[in-house]
Amino acid sequence: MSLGTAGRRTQARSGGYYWDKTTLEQRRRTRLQTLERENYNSQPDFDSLPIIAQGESTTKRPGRPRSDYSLPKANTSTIVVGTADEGLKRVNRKETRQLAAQRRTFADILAKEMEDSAKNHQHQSETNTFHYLTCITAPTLGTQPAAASRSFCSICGYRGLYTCIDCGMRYCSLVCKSAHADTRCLKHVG
Amino acid sequence: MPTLILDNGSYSIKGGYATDDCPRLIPNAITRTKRTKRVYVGDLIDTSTDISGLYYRSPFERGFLTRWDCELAVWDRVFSNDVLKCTPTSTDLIVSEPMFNFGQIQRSVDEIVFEEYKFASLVRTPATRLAAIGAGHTIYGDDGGEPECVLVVDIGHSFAYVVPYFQGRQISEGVRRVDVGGRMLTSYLKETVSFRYWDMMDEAYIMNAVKEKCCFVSSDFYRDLDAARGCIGGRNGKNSLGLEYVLPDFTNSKCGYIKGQGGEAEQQMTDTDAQVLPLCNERFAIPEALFNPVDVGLEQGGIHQAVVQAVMACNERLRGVLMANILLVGGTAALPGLQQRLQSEVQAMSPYRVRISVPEDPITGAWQGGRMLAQGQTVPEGATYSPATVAEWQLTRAQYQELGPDRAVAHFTKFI
Repeated sequence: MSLGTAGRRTQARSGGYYWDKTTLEQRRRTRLQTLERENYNSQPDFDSLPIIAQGESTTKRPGRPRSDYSLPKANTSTIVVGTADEGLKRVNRKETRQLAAQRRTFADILAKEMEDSAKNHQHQSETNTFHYLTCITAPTLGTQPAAASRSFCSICGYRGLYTCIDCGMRYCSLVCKSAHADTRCLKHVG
Repeated sequence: MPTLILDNGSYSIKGGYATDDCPRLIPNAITRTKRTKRVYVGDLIDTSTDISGLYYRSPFERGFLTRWDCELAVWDRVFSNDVLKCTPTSTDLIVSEPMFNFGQIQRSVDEIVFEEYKFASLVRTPATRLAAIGAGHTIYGDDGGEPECVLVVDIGHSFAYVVPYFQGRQISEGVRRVDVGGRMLTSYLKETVSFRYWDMMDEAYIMNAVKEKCCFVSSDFYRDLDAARGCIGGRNGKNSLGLEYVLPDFTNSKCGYIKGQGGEAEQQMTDTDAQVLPLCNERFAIPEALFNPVDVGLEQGGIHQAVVQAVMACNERLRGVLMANILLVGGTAALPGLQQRLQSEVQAMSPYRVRISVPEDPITGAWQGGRMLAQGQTVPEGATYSPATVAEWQLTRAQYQELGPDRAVAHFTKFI
């Protein structure tokens, strides 16, 4: 297939750009983000459920401990830790509760860490500092070029030798190609 | 005073006393079931029969402890009378942390340990360091403690770290990380299976069990890929690489089983149209991401490249010894065939003889090292070097209050 044909196909069917590098790069990034998450779908109502210690007051007014308050069985408004007979094996300080209430993302903490270490190393004469970001494994080894990225057939998983002209997904044989075109092709989606 | 060793991992906590033979494994998360909306802390999830659509609220993000509300809840469960029965005020604690842990997190761990739980003393160190202490037992077969030179490959839930150690100190310029771990492999398997067979994107718990039971690392990927061709559906008997995994229906089995290896659960199964997952090339294509992170879209080298880069970054005189003393630990290191594959890949790129050792239970590798540290078995006989003993390493509560949070963190940095 000549380059000219591929260029025309990019805009043809559903109007979407499936082949250009930016789109493929975006697809790669979104896919990686999805794979790195702990859960596929987020449940913000559960993530923000407060976790309180047994006997801790849920109201903001001081001086009202609720140690004999029995929470209903199917309680969905808080998560309670610590048992009534054993009690809590820790102090449950105010500072701890403040620390526990912090909702900082990994990106925030990483940024602050880089800031802090830059400040610390300003005073020292170290030229080489090693931290979380310096130890990433490069995809190449010295002067060797990076191995070519490989693809797999999106239907069966064998080597993805051919590419769908409409959506850019891979297939390995005519059998998989027809399976792809029937239901899986992204042209149906977008 | 009893010593409690807590290997605080992002998937599970391996916790036990120095007098125990092996630790207890407690999932390090708060989970909620989809249908019944019941909340379980840590290992209480094992009491639930319905684990479909299980949602995880984890204290860890990208392998670092960022959410203390969840972690306090799990630690409360771990120290309770039902699990480890710990009295913090009269216990010495050894806790693990990730490599290059952030200063803010280190300060918060120290604060929680000393001011909140009020432990008697603390040793806070990267998990790979603990594994290095236990390396002598795995590599040389004796209880000789930490070898002079060891390369630890720790493949965990969030990432894989390769760390060279010499005379009890890490060689920081030689540390390498690959952001592929157990969680990435499970997600990759979920994505692949959801695209080809059934939608399992919400079923991390079940797919994790499938990964642990069915996946293996191939020693020759393209040969096995060719052999598996045409095995769509993995019908047993037609191809030895394929198998069928019967998904759980929560009355007979909780996690499901492989057809033909189900035991009791299979015998009781009468429902003929149970959901079956046919697996063939997925079994060995998923773990390939460890060697080729480009498969999942990650622009990093594989663990074999990490090993070679780590060794090459070290002093020339150490390279041969490091290559001959490679220790493989971590949950994901338990994948069948990983040791042989890593051995052959690294040997192909190394002029030195490569020897990779794996403990019998890679999951508890770091914990066992922590136990040896607690029992004082850190130095082999006749050694000319002496890594730190617990007495020098630990920080007592009195010392913490005297030094304050910043200098307490610096105390542990001395031993890195």
